Amino acid sequence: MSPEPYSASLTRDPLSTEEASRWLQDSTCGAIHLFCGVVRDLNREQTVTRIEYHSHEPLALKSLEKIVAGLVESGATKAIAIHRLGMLEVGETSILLGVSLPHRKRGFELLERGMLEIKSEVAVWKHEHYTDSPPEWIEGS
Amino acid sequence: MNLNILLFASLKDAAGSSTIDIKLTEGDRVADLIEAIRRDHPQLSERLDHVRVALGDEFVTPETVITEGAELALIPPVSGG
Repeated sequence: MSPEPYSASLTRDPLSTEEASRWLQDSTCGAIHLFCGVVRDLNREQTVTRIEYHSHEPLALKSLEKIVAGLVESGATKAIAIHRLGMLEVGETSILLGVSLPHRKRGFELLERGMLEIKSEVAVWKHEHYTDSPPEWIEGS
Repeated sequence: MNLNILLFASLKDAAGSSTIDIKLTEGDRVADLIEAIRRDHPQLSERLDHVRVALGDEFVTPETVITEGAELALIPPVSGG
């Protein structure tokens, strides 16, 4: 358990929304927002079978920590981000981003901001696998 | 000084390796590193316009001076989430 009001991690294990939600609980908070990014089966008109997530781990972790710390500075009581790495099948959760705070409205804004920052700053890349063509790197999102 | 540069994603595929070796002179900056890679690894050249450079766990600017033993990485546009 992190002593800070924010937590960032990278993992090759399946993500648990229940654990993230439990970590976000706080007696002062009436709202827990949890975003799950999930591997979908279609991208750029190609059928996706699975995605392998690669990372520059020290750089990615540092960026992820800055992002969740920034969400707390901007009003979240707690913030958590967990990015999955390795090979994921369609339907598996690739990222969890969550915030808790006294009221809901600011939470929606912070989640969107956090995801935009993750997609532009965190050194993780998708290597998409398809049914009918060789895998491709996705760069930029 | 000789530096071992980490590569990721399409850069790794284009180079056929997860690292490349680059020789720089003391006082060279990140911008000089990029030009050295263009010269020595032309197959990576077209991808270099969009990469950022990381030193350890931080992004650095083109003006950053590179020192011996620096752990440098080329970071293509990211696609996490």
